[in-house]
Amino acid sequence: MSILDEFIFPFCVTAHSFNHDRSQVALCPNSNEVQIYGRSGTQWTLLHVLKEHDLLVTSIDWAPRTNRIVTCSQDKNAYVWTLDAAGSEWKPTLVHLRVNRAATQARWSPLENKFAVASGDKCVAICYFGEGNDWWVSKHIKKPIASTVLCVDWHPNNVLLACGGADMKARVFSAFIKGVDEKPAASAWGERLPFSTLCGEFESPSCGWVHSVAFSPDGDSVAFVSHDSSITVATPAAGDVDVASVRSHYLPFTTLVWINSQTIVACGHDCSPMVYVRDGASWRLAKKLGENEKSRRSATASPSNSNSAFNLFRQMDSRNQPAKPSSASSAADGSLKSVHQNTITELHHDPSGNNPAEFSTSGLDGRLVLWAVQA
Amino acid sequence: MAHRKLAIDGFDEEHQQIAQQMQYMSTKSDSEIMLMVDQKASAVRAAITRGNSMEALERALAEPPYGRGQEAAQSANALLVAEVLMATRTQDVNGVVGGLSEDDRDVLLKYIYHGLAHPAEFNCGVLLSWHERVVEAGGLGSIVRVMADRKIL
Repeated sequence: MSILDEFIFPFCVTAHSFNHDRSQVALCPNSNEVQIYGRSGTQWTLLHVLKEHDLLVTSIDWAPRTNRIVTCSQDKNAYVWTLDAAGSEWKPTLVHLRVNRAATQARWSPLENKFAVASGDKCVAICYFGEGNDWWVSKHIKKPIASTVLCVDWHPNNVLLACGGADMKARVFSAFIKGVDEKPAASAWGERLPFSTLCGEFESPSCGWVHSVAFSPDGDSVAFVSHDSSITVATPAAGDVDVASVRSHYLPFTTLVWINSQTIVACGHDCSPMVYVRDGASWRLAKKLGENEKSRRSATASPSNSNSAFNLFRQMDSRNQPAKPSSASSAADGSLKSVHQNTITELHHDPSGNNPAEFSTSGLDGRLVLWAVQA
Repeated sequence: MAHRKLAIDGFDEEHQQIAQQMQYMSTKSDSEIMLMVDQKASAVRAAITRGNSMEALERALAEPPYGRGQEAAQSANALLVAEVLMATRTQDVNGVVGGLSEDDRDVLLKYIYHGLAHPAEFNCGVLLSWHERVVEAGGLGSIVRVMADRKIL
């Protein structure tokens, strides 16, 4: 049983982020708003609506310890939201981002004193709080990024940043900010790393936009998924880089997460999380989660499911189709056998850090699902 | 974007240079590539007459003439691959597809799509039946790779 919980919202969920104990979730309902819901029993109730952006909100990240939310949008802005003392309202603080194109993704660093914003302006903005001016200032990493940056991920040491983009390469940079960071320990990626040093550049065998990039939990490897339906894992070791690529049989993945150093979960346009495990020097598909989960059919009391026999005969009458046994990917009422009925947009770890085998997914079908991978 | 009157990226010189960098350009010269395809042709045809479809296909798929500007070599190679596909007996198709490596399968699919795009010169019925087999083996991912790859045939 890999599904812990499933919720259906009446809109496409394009971005989501849970708070530290998953009692609240911030969602983007495919608009310029961010809605915060709180858990009450098995339902989610709308608590706050954060309205400051002018265009689609592309990314939300909720910092678990400092309880701040960073949002970024196609309107070239990013805001950091803090809850006021009474706990009743989220107040935005403008971030001086200085980008000329849309912002695509924003992520807090592990220590939550910086965040990175990827943008269409061919740069990544590393933002930190400037005490002097009482707002968030940014430094840009520009070279040699050649096109829109689509995704970013921080290394556990709070200094290195992986990013991937539409120039079909995944890169690792140093995002060391003097005054905010302390010198990091030497790692396989290099030592003595001033801001904006390129520590590695990788591409997958058939190229394709890099949709999501992630460091392994120990930081020694970086994995990315790209639009050529592949997962690539790069591990630098002793001056050389070992790059292992897996070609998948499915539609491209949009997002991935490391469960542990031997297991990656990726999901995307094929609507199911796929679990890949390390197999010697390469990786292989271990299983697909969420197919044929009987409990889910009873939990989601949507009209089409509760009377599937009725629908079957109705289809026979209206479409003149004989009753067919369930085909490989869709059930008798035409819905997909996987839990999500449409592309999965985002995948996140458990924010408290206590359950590395748990993750949450949101999709264009409005579903927010919590999963656990059995070892 | 209907309100925009200027295509702003067109004024950016750097942008045009980058767009050119993104296209795959082969390191070999045009004549070298054409020569390579011609040399393959005799070996492939010999293998077809011997009845060894697997070997013929592998030779035809080796070292594909990727890159922009290589249309002549790509057409010649595609016709060569099509000869092998048509010469293979129907009962052997599954075996041949199963025996190809992942790389070769993706390259074969690229040639199949090339052929399907030129229906006047290729037998699309044969191509479609091979397409079905290759996609059974490689899944939708192999089709996505044909579309996404910069190395075009």
